[in-house]
Amino acid sequence: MPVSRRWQAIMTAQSQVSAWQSSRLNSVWQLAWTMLAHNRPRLLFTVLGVSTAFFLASAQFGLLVGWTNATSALIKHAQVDLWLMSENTRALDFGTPIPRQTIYRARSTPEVNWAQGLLVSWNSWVRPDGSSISVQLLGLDKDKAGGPWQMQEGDLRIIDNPQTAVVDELYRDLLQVHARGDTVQMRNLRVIIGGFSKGVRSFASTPHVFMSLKHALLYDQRHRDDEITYVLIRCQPGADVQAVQANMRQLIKHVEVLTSDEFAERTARYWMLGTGAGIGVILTAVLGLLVGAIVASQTLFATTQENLGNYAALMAIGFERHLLTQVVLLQSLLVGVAGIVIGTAGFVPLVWATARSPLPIEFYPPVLAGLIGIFLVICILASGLSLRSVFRLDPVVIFSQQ
Amino acid sequence: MNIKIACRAIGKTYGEGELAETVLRGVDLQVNAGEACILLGPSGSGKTTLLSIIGCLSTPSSGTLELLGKPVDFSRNDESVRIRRHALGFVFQQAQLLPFLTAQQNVVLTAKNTGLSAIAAEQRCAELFRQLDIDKMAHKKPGLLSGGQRQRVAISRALIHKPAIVLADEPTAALDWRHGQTVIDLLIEQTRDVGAALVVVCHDQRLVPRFDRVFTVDSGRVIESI
Repeated sequence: MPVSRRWQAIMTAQSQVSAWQSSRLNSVWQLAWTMLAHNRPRLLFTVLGVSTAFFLASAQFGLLVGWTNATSALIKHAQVDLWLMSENTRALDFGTPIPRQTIYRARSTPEVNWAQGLLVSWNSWVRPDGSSISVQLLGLDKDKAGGPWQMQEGDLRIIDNPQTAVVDELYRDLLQVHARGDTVQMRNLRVIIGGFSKGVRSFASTPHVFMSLKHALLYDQRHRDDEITYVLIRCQPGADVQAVQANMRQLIKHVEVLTSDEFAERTARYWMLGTGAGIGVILTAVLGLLVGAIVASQTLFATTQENLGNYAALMAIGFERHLLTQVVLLQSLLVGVAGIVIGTAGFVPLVWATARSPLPIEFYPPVLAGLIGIFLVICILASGLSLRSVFRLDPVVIFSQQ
Repeated sequence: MNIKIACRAIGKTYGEGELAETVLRGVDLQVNAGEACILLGPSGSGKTTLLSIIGCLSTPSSGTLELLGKPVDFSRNDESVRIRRHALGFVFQQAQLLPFLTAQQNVVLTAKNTGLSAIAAEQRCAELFRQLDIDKMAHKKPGLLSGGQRQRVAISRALIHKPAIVLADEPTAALDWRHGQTVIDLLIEQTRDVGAALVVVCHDQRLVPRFDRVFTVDSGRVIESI
């Protein structure tokens, strides 16, 4: 046979093999889908179970993201490079007073461009009806770093006025203040509401109250007049922040210097893991995943058991075992994908609905992508029992199934 | 002579030691192309075991099996699967059609697995359905078909890829006499059309005259009736 004709023959054979493979893939798809869809009530129940599990898990993780963001939002929005604080500060909310002169020591560190103070303390807010709640008082220095990053009503500079505070609009009802000019009391001193910030949430239902550093000191009992809680530092443009951090640690003793990311992570870690609040949320999310795995596993197993005779018939007439395992795996993926799509369709409105609540469920694409990945893996693992049945199936049973 | 099936001293024993039970003892059997054979015998005589060995679904304890002139290597599962896919066609007692596919899909799925293109498979399926008079049932699922119609679909499935050997296990057991006869006649006719060797396991003596050769399995031995 001439070379060109032989080559043509090889190419034809290859294209036939490829067409056969593609035809067999179609068969896998057809078998997987029609087998699942044959028992529609069960398929519906499975998809509902799996989507509820995905919804539950994604809502819990969304809550976790929302909480994590809430705990560290002030740090991230402060737009500073470094935070200087007393040693062993667990979180932004639990700072210990440090001397005000630390600001000047920070400013004198090479490559530091800017440094200002921030006061963070707890206080008691007496509402107009006489009841009181805990609030977190934040005293902002001249440039208002560490304060709200967006306002709904008024201008943040109003806090430079005596007795004037800005609170977040999300806590109007909780704080019982509804308009600028409303007055309440903190530590038996009058507070005038000067404006409302927007979307500045706090963790653990303790609203932030923003005042100027100078006036906040009047309301706070924990700090002396010459004390602050944090020094916020911006490095010179192009400076190596880690190098400045290391240098500052050398020069200023008995304090800690963290980058914004480090401090945000420490604060989030404290609230999420240190208090156990996050562990509860994570546990619920894991339980959601577990429920999804059990529902998927049970249904896939029941479907496989119900179709063992059909699998045996297929094997007897020449379908390879691996083709049938692909059918089971594809079924688990189909159930998983359907669950994810429906679960996400429920999750997105929930994100939207809680966006303006004090406890938002937030959508963070990497977390959702990770959750989808984990969920699909769980669905595949859930097919383990079914795969075991197919692997152990002897096609000769077809003769005993009469 | 074109020998399609050759069993040489096939034996099959289940279990070991005191619990060992011998089902087949030195079975010799030869079936040629175009021949229709019936395997008769009481329940438990070993006829289904023999059929499962010829169908490469069970491994014999002793002896050799040659299909299409080549010995079957039972230690290689992929080879058994390949033989079942390309060389054999099966008809089971209860048809064993996939309940979630239509009659046509059941047949075409099998054809595509053997390498037939979808178009060729559909054309051949339509032709078989016409010959077996079930062309109006093509788009119905097995649950909506009668026992006889289901067996006709099963025959189509067994013949769609024009196998060299067709094996049928009690294909009339679930049917009344009239439908049973029709199914057997169609099976023999269609098998002859493709020049295949046909082996039918049955215990209905009334069907014997329709077959070319008659084998009786008794106490693990196979005897051919003249």
